[in-house]
Amino acid sequence: MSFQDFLIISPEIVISFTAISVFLLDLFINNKKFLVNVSIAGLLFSFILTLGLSNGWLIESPGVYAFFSSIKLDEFSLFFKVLIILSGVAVIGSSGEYISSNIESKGEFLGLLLLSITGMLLLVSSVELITVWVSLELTAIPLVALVALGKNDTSLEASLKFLILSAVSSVVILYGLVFLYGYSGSTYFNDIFSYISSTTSSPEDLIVLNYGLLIGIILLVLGISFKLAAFPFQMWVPDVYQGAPTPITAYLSVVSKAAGFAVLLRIIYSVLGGNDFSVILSNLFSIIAVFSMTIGNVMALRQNDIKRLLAYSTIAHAGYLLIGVASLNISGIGENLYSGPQGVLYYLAGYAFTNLTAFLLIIGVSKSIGTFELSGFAGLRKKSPLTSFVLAVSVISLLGIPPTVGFMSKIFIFSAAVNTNLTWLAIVGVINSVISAYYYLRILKIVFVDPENNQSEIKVSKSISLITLIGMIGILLLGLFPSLILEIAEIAVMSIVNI
Amino acid sequence: MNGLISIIVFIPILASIIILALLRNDKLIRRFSFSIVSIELILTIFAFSLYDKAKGGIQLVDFIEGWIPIKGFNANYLVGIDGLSAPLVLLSGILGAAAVWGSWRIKNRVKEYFALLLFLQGVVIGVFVSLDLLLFFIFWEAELIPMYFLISIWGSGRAHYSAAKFVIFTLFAGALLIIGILAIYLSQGINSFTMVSIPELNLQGIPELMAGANLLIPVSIIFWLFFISFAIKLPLWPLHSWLPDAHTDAPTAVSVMLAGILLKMGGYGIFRISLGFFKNSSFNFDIAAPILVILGAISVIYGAILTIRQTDLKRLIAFSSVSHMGYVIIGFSSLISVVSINDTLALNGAALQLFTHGTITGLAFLLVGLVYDRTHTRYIPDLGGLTSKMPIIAVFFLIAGFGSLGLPGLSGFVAELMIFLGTFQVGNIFAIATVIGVFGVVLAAGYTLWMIQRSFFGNKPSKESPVSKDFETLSDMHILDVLPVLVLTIPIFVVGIYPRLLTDIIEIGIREMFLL
Repeated sequence: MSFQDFLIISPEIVISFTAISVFLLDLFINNKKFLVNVSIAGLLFSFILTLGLSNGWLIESPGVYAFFSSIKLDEFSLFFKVLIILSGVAVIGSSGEYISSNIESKGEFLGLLLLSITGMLLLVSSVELITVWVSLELTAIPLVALVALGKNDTSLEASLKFLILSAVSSVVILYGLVFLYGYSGSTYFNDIFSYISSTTSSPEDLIVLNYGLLIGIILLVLGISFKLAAFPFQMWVPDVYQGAPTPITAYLSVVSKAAGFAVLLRIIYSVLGGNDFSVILSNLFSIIAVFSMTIGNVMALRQNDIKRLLAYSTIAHAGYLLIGVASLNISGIGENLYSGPQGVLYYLAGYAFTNLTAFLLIIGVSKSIGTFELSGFAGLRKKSPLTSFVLAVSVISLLGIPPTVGFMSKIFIFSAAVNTNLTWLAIVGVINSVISAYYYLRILKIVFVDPENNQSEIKVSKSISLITLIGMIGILLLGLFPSLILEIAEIAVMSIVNI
Repeated sequence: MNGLISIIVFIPILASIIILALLRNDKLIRRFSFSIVSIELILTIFAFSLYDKAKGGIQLVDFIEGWIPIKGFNANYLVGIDGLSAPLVLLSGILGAAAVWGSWRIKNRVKEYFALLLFLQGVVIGVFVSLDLLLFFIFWEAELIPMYFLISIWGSGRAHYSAAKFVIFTLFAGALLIIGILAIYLSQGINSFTMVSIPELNLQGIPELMAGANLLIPVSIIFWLFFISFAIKLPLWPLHSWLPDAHTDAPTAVSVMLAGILLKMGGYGIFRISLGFFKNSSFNFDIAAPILVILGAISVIYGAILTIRQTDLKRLIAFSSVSHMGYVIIGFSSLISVVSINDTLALNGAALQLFTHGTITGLAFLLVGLVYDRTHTRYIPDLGGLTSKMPIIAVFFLIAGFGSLGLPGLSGFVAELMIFLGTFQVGNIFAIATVIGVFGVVLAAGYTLWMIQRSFFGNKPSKESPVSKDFETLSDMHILDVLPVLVLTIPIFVVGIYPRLLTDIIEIGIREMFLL
């Protein structure tokens, strides 16, 4: 263990220290606004450190291992670290008002959130099974408490559901890890990869001799689907999203999902490489994708609670993302070899902008109207034109109409699918996005067409307005110039591929 | 780099952003929009006249390479006009002007209304001038946002239902379209989004590349993906069911835009892609063309029969659009027999029909809007004898009606005659379909004249009619309505009397698609 090891995880160290100091300061300080500022300062500092790591200010170049090769700092993990930290800044930055009015234990709220972020940061850079599992737990356990921090009973119920399903998924993942270790004899991604690629030559042998590995991978994927909010572990999503404090819902829908996809991609491309497991996996992901999209979109059609509606919409979006994961270019031909994962990264970045903007606006608006019912948003246009415009942009991006990032993301994902002979999956995807038009249009209709039904004034706090405006600019900018992210995504993907 | 076409596309879009962000005063917004569409009209006429017929090919090209420069996803910014798109750009300029000028009565949410209308005009022109498939698709989909809001906010009746139906149908069309686009782009030997070859820029277009390409999915599937997508937009029977609802419930100006230029997106796509891409590929039109001509003939007759039965003025005109767009497909199917430049008569007619239908039906919707503003009903049995109160509206309505039924001297006649002559020569089932199509003209005469007779002539409204109470107070056309009506009427006469103005340029466009 050298000093460089600590430099490599310095963003995580800074955030966990911030978390601890927030816990402690909470005991002595009455001005809780200060705690928010401390948290944001910690996150921003760790963001600067992350930039330093990627630019070569702190270490020579990305692509180095730390802590006995259990953590790898590469472009891929840096991409996700930036995404997670900035999403964290957006969530905490805009929830100051929410915390002071809706949350009793304010210090714990911020501290636990920061701890969960630390877990996510570790998760995206871990290249060893035990580290993966420990980081997963570190992300999940604070979230159980965070979901329960809302003041009402639904919040408690949601927390209990989250706890149980989270535990089940953890066990499934652990079981999968055991299979992987048992068959390959190592917990390191690289070792498992060289074991798999050295064992045999013909594809049939590979499967027959290593069916245990296959079981392990499948269990792992199913367990991770909990994080992704994808089928078959999608049942918790609507209840938990509805019951949890809204900033936590936003965090779950963006950060948790992104970290889940990071693990998934890393396992596919670092552990399995381009061998014949991929065919089976591609089929598995296709099935999960079809179910997630369809369940999400069909169930969202009849929702009247905006948080529940967006919960189902995130299930559907997990499905679209899984199309990109399923698009494994096994034969290795064509110019755009890794267009699938590249599309996933771009999609996740765009989705972070889009969904955070939507959820943060809902935090701001629902505070004034006092409800999450869709009908409460009627006449929003009249009361707050700018808010409703920004909301419209984010909904249009979720629906995937240009000139937004949601449109471009879908194009890249579907393009990857067609490119890897999964045209049928792309067709299912596009049909699903047609279905989704129905409920997204309902939001637009309620906001822009329906007459207002209550007189309450809408006052969205300055921080939310600022952050959502930045979000809206991001949605439009990335939609018009997708290469801003795609070029980085390409480098990031190349850094995890083992051939 | 010329810039004119980009300016035409982005002036209305920029203007809509300026309206949303900066302007507050309703009066100012109205004047601003009026002047923007006037500038736009002048610019489109200018661009149309700049097109050099002797030179041919794609002209006024704006090209920015590497707009999305990702490895394996090379989209460029490429716009320009050729013989096919130039008339449609001109049409968009005319219709956009008519729609905005004709909207001076709008009092409700003026700011959003004009911003959306201008945005709509910009993106639809974008569809016609894009020569990069991805750019084309972006404009194609972007049209949904303004249309949805325009119909559902300012519409009448079941406005939200109709708007959502419109969006979902169009999104479905877009879904098929994008699969087709990706399948073509990702095929070995193509890897290009460029829709036409431009020798000056060393760009090889898909039409050229299709011949030697190794397509990802069978060429016939790709063809039908594209064709169904455009057929929804056109609309062609049996995919037309969104159109009557959207038209009926949309506000006047939006009906004008919808009938005038949005339907033409489908027609344009059929020419540019279904013809341009597939004529030189391995796709066999021997089976497809008879199916097309049959669908076209069914559209003509089915649309016409339904039109006769309509009692709502707007719905009536909407169904007549289904019938008239059927002619486009009938004419289009004659592509099967094209071996030399002399065989493109019906195709030229079909492309001309896009233009003529745009002006004639646009005018009809505008006038129905004027009638409705006064009578507050579009229910034909409630109307009658309106000529005595609004003679000028009646005259223009007669022009639109005669144009629609194909009176010689007006533009509709020329287009339909070309289609019939050209397609009949192909023989066999095409000749039979043409004969059936001609019968559609008889029906058109029937429903048009009957509709005009019932609403404008004949007896005054009966006592039960809501119109009868205020019948004496009905007024004729306002001075401000003259401008939008005239801007649509003039092309009907000009093209009717001197069709070469358009057919010469259309012929160049069609000829180049066949690489003749």
